[in-house]
Amino acid sequence: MKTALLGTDRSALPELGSSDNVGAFLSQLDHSNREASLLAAAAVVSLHRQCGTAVFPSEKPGFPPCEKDETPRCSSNAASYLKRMLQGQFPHLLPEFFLALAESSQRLPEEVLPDTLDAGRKDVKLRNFIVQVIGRRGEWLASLNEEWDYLAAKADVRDWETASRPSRVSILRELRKNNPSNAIGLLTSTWKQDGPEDRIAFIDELQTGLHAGDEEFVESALDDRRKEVRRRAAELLVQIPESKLVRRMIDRTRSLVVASSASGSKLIRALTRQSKIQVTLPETCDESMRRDGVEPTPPQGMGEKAWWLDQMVASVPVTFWNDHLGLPPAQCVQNAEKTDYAEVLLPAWATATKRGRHVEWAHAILEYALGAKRNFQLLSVVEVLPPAHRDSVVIKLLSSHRNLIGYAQPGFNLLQCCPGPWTERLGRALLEFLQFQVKQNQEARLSLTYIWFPNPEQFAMNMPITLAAEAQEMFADIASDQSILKPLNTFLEILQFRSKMLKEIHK
Amino acid sequence: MSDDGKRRIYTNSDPTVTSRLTQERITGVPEMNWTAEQILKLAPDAASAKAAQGLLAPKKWTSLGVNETAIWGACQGSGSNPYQTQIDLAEPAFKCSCPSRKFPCKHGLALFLLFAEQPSLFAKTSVPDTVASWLKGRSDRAKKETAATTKSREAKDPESQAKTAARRLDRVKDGALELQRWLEDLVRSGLAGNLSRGTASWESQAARLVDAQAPGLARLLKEAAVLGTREGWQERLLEHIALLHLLLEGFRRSATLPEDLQAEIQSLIGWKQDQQELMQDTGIVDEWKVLGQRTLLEDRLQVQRTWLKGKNSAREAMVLVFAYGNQAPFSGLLPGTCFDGELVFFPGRMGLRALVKTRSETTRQLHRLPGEPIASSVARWSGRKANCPWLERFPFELNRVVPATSHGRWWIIDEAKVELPLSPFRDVWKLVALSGGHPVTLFGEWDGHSLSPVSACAEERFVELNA
Repeated sequence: MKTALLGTDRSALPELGSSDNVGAFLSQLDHSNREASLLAAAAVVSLHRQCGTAVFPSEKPGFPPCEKDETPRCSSNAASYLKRMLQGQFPHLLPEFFLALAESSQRLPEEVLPDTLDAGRKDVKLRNFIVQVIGRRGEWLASLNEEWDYLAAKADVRDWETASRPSRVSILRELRKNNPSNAIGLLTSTWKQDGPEDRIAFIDELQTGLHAGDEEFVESALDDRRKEVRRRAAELLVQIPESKLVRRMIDRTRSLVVASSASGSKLIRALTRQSKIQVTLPETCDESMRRDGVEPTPPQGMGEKAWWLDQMVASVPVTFWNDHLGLPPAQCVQNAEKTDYAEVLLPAWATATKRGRHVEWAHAILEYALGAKRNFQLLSVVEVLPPAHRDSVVIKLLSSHRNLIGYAQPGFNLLQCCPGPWTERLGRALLEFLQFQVKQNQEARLSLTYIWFPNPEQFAMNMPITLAAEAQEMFADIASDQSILKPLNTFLEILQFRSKMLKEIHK
Repeated sequence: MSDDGKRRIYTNSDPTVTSRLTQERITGVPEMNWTAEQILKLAPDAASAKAAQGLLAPKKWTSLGVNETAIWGACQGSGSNPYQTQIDLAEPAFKCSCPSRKFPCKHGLALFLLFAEQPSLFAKTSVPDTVASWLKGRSDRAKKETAATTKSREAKDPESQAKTAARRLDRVKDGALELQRWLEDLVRSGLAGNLSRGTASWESQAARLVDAQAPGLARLLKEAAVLGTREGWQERLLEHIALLHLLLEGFRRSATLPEDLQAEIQSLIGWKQDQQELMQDTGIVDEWKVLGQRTLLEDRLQVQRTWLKGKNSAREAMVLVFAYGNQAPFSGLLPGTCFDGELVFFPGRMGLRALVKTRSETTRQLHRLPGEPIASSVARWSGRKANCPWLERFPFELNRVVPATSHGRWWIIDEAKVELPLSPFRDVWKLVALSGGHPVTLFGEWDGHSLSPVSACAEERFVELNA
């Protein structure tokens, strides 16, 4: 070997031949050509070695066997849809696939587990779905590979102090679901010793089961050394309407946004509905404001004082303003529009409306948003409306401005903020609207592509699956290769994919 | 160019030979054994696969039809006339009137998918003229080609044929001699020093071997050059070139060797077997299990190995299929199935490479693999290797093994507690998932050093593993 590496020029050929069989054979080689005999000898030796490959008893331990799982696997046809999504085709449909599987009490076949666990490693949002369908085998597999420790087998509460971060998060999550107050106790027991990354991961888990009893602990986290922990604590406290932080925010803003009617009591103002709103900007962002999560530096294009006000108003329960200004929501919105700070007040109120889920306020803001000035930033409050109500609003808008295209169409725009799955009524209204637009665009020979239908993926995901066949039918006669139909085809393709995928799961 | 426009036919033999398999056909509507997943594997690229799935609406298609051997339909595209798409299911072979340069095109794939998913849409009608003439053209051509090769062999002046053969033999001899000197020089100056200067001289030597009409030697040399660039290469490289030396020696003394060894040496050096002629031989009739597939890229040529095993004969077989460029190699053999058929084997000591001579139209799913203990497989390998030193890979079907790992390397262990190292492969965790710590049957390629897993079977489920 060494001779071959160095070269026969520089290294002597070792004596070939010894007493065993191979040696006897080697000694018969013709030594007149040193190179050839080296190669021949190498061939003989390697063949001898390979042909004589002996097998050895193994000392290596195998994996501990996984328990049997009685949950049935999904069919291989259903799994083939998963494989296509994992390979990059419509990956945003993965949650729907996992959910449908979990609802019909099926699990993933073993061969797709590694790719699925990898997908969960890369995309945190998928993890809660994945956990439900990997079965015992998946949990077993995840426990063997560090890359998948985000799914770490559920550790025991008694291991709280010693377990790894992912295990501790899962302990906390479980406890939080069933006994939120005990979770706080557990958290407090080690909080001072826990590292900053741990604290960030743990405080996020308090979102589940958040209630007034959490306040004391979360309030103390406002003084944490790490900014991320402080910020998250403030976000949590805002969600507890009776918290001290909320009260402080009310106190800070009550004098900044006031009704400026020169005369009269609240009652008179409410009756006459003629008051104005007067807005004063805060002068400073002091230490206590920062402690409560007010970010001092504004985003680009916004004045810092307006930014502070915006953040504080958004933290106040929106119903406070009815009382404080002595006006019903619609009047509050109308009057706010007349101030110089409509751009600050209205988005902040919209945020508070969504948090508190106030239907009346949502109405008021929506009406304003769809009114003459069309402020589409505020449309997302539509999510607060009860579905039937929401549908009516959207359907009416879709049918009343049929010539407007894309986001200029208010109903179409509103649909973006309507979480799925949509009702059949709403889905059908969208299909009819699309059909009308396709026809019109074709007649006008417009060469629009995505402008008229900018987000087919999202819409196709929210469509009720029961309309898949109907949708296919409605657009079947349309030639498929025009550029204007690209988004429509994407929309139909995803809808079909979903429909077939779910059919395979439920077969 | 023939009269039917584009003509591209998958062959299951060397790319140089356009042959078509003799097929046993059953009457009636062909049974569809293809799943959507398998069909999509035929797509030349991901875009085609995606586009094909967009054409699955039944309304996009008109005059869908089927007979015993083919399906056809018309698909409305952007042009004024719909595209005429047809598939000869026996191979399958595709034809479409669309201008796409991809093959098969999205229309062909979509038609195939549609048939797999909703066969009821296809009317069992008389064959349209265009389809009939295409099918007839294909079978006529196949016959003609067979006839032509036979004729050309007969017609050629035996004297000039002998002269050509002799001329080639001389050139190969010169090439072999030159390679032998080159190898000796290599060893004289040392492998280590040579490889530190890169593999360019290896490449040019390989090119000279191609010119000398010894493509087999060229391939072996190129493989050696690749070995030289890996870690822990020394021993493997020396082994490789030593075997190359042995081959050249064998060639030099060819006359003194048994006939089957001579045949093996000839094929290793690069003489091609006449496959038409081989098809005339009597083969082995058996129920053949398709155990797995591996595709390698050699320059722009894709080489696909399919491993088969006879249920009764226990005979191992390997079918090679080649494809150029972005066409997917296609053998028509689906891993995890078995079929009744006849295989003919290439002459030579190795006795692995085979052609499918006849096969039944229907296939069955494989749910179980019997396998054998590691020790028996290794013992059989030893016998075969001693008999034919250039045996590169040998199929192992191992019974009741579990995977194990230590320090980033992987092994399998069987019930007798015997272990075998695995070469690194992509789907190792798939194997672990499938096993769950319980025994599985594992099929793989053994190269004398480690096993490269190809497929596995557990709880009556067959799963392919990628390298």
